[in-house]
Amino acid sequence: MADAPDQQLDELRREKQAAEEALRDLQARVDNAQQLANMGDYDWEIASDTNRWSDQLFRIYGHEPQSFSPNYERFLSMIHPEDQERIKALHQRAYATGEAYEMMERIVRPDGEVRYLSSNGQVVTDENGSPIRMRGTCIDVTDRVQADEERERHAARVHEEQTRRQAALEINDSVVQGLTAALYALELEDTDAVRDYVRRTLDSARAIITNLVGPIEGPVAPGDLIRSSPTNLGG
Amino acid sequence: MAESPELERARQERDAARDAVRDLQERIDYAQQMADMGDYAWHVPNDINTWSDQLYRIFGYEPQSRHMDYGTYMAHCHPDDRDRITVIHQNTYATGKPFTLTHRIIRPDGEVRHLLCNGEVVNDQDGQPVLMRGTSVDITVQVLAEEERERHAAQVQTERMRRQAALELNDTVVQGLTAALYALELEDTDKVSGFVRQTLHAARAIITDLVGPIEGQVAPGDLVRSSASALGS
Repeated sequence: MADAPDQQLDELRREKQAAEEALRDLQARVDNAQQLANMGDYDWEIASDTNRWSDQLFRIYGHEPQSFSPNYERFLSMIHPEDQERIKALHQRAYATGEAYEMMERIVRPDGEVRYLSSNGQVVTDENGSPIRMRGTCIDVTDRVQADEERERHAARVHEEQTRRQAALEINDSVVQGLTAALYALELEDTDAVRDYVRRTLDSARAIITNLVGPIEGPVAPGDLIRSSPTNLGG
Repeated sequence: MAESPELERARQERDAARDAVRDLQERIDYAQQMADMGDYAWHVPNDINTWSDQLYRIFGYEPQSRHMDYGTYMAHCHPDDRDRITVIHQNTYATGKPFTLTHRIIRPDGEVRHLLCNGEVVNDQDGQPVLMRGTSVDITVQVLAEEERERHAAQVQTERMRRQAALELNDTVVQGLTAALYALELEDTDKVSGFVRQTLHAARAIITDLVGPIEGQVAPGDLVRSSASALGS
């Protein structure tokens, strides 16, 4: 037994309002989450070359949300010139193969600021397998990229310092001490001892050299050590 | 019996509104899967934590398969990170300032993942915190790649220094000692003494150059062995 038409009408209108409210809540949730994560999503319809960007994606690019129509040419013009060819090739491959892609690209904001984006995307095909859309996400990872660069510099410094200290220690323990002993033996005019110390020190020095460059290119042979830059180490 | 046009229009409008919700939900789910990002909303008064589907997947669960309160969340955080997370959450709760942090979680199968998280507190009209909400992005792949890059950067920089030190040792110490051995053969003691002194001076200069930029001139006791050495003598 159906409700009276008036009741049905009220019910449908309530349901419509509930759906509109749910849409508003969902929209607020996605906007907030994307702002917090500095992440945006896009959906590019290939045939019409229209690209729907989320509000946060506009902000990441340094623009007011929904302030222009980001077609492909416009999108490409905002990519860092050195990254444009790579991005185009990546998109073309995704388009041809239907495979998902991930990339890191630089964009240039209207004020000239360069930002690093970690992006991905996927081609959506119609029932015949023809590409119709390309959709995906971008996260602004500039802060992380800069922190990573600093960490790499720091790791390199720390490691070099450790290696320097160790090499210095080895030279001190074997070469300097061996030569000091040789000098003592010279004072005592003990030629056999002098020869012994000098030979042993020479062996030590060669062992240290092998150890310094050994892990990289095996034992040192004549000609291996070619000076690649001027040194400030004095003889 | 046919519907009245008014009823039919109302039905169409309701369906369109419901379609819009479904489309947006689909768009959110898709984007979160692509970005490996999830969002959460923690209702503080009743300790109910709403998680998006992808957040469940990041933690190694089927979407919406279990109840997540603050304790359950914390139990999944790496034990070494828990104190730091608690302090940051409390600070945000007290000050209302948004937070960003990276921490590790442990999935039910034991796999460790690295998350980049953020959050903010929403207050009611009396200024009481009612909601803590935010997002988590799984950045495990990026963290591992960065660790590898750090190792590589360290190796490249050190390799240059190693080659240079080896070159210096060869040019000065090895050649000086070889000359000293020749002089010994010739029983020219003055020359032997000269070469040995010269070589000793050179070796000390190399040491100063190696550690000088870090700690100035090397004095006795400066070179304290901090780890076992692989260099034999």
